[in-house]
Amino acid sequence: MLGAAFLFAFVVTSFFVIRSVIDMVYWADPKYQDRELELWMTPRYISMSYSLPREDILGALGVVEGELARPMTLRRISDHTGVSIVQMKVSIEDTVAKYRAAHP
Amino acid sequence: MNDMILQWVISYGAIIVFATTFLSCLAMPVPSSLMMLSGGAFAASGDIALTTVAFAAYGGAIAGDQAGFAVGKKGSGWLKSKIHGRPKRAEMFQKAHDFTHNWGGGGVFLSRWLLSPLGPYVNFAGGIVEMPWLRFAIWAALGEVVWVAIYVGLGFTFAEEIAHVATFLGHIIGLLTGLAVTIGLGVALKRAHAKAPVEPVVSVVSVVPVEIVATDAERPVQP
Repeated sequence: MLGAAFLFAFVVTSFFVIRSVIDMVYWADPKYQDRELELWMTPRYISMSYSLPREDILGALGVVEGELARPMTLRRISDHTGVSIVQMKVSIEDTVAKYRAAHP
Repeated sequence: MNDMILQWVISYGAIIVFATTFLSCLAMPVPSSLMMLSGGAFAASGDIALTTVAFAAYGGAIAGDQAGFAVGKKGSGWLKSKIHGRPKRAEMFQKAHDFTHNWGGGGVFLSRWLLSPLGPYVNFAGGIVEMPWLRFAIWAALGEVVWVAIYVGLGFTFAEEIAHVATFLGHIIGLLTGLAVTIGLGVALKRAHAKAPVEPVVSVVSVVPVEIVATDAERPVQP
């Protein structure tokens, strides 16, 4: 009984060792580091994540600071402005690309 | 899963962080680590105040530990009635009791953050073996400071890559806990094969008195 438990614990531990190693290898690749926009993100978060000024993000979304009560998630902004999520993502991605081109 | 948690944290803030850490200390399957990481990330982006996240997480953890300990203590009476009149079990309970008195603080401390999956069970066991409340409370409080600081701090520091960090941390914690349990069981196995099986095995990372609930039928027979 004890032996079976030991074996089980050993297998589970080995699984986690392998997963951890895979994580380290996988996430080190820069290809996987630019984060896709999600509905829970706020302009502040996007600004931090993509290293852009918050004003640029707000401009891309067509809202101003404080226009909505906090938290200003993309989902709530979409509900407020009537602009679709897809469209908002495109706007933001365009803005990000333009900003990065202008500020290498 | 990560996105859902981030959504909840940004929508409900301190309340959900408090509730989650509280429930996690009672062995409920709630994603408290992910909640704290998310809270830290939103503190970094400025969407939630860092102090709000930290205090909510810490308050929930302390309250949860105390609740778990109290639940264990209530069960202590039932357990004692089970071992009354059974000398071997009484001796084991006494040894686990003494061990917890002398060394349990370290087990409580480490099970707050390093071996966090064991935490709730340490709460219950601490109450069951009647660990001195003050010792439990102090070590739990100290351990929870480390737990909250690590998770909220990591969320805050790696906010931009929060999903990756969350996944990786989960694997590391699983690894460490699995390693501790494997080693503990290995030691127990070695002792069981080596000599007299009456000696209770309570490793430094396991305050749960496993031997106490073993029936006589499960004991290896002494030739």
